[in-house]
Amino acid sequence: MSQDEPELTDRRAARLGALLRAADPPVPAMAFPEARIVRAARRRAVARWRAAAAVALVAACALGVRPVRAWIVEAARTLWSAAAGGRRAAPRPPAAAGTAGRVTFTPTAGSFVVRVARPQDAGTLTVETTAGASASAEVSGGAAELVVLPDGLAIVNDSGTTGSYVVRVPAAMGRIAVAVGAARPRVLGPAGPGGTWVLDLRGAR
Amino acid sequence: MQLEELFARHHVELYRYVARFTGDADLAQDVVQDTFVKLAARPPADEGRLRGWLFRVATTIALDALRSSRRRLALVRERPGRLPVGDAPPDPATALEREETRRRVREALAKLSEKERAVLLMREEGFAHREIAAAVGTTTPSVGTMIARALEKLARHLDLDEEDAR
Repeated sequence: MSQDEPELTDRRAARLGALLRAADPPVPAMAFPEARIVRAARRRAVARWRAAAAVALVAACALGVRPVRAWIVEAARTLWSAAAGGRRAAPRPPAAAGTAGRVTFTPTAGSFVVRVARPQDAGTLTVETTAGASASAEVSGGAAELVVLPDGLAIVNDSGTTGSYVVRVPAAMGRIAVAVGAARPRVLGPAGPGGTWVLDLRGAR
Repeated sequence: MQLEELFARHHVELYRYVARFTGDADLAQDVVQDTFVKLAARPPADEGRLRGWLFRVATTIALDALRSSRRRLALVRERPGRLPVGDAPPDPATALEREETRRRVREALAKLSEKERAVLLMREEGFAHREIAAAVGTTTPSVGTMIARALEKLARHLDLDEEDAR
């Protein structure tokens, strides 16, 4: 390469830059695409609910326990129906089943999203950060199903329930967010140790 | 940083880049919006490299759009640029000259490969060779060679050496 080549390249680049600027179309007024972002998030949520419903159906077949299986199948059908645009209300899980009051698992994604299916008449969601790699969630004062998802947790509740939920998330998570119903996810912030957030699920309506 | 702030900060430069890359102002608007939809869905792990991520994703979306529709002809199609609301219309001679410049630039850029075009236009947006290499999937040393080669091709079509020849 001759010594003149870098200079030649720079001169050509400068001239091209001037031509590009002369040829640029005016920048139109562009609005932040909030509606498109919300629509895309809903489509993803529907896909997740469908996946959760499919997992629940498989679990129902595997369990072979008649009452639990019957409820899971019904819940899966309802979820599928809701995801597909149906209007059936989610069935309240039987208290006797006792399969979903508490879950413990190890999240594998870099961020953690808590999805509450719908706002409630009463109740709170408490999110706490903890040391260690495990996450956990528990229901008190009401009934709801806890479904572990690849990037977090879904709380499949009933709008009439008054249950409260405590979700503990590893402090090492890069980001924690909460989505209630169709509302936009609310980012609680980088986890960090000792964080606690309490959300009124009634206020989320 | 909130998405709205990121949009306010980056959408103009992203629009300019995509409009140059595709030669299609309407498509550029769609691509910019789709890029931010993707950002909302799956933000990059390293926020320090957000700008490069935005340009890389916008390039991918633009290429997909160009390949999947007849818009691939847009680079060489005549398409008058729109005027922002409130601007006085330019006089006919100025408008004609500007349109002629647009046509020449579009035609010249269309002669480059997609990778050469991305490399050259990202350089124009001030990216370092290292960032360009990461965005287009090549090595840092080869970026300089690609830029020189692309400019060499453009020099023939756009009279980039005109002043030197005089």
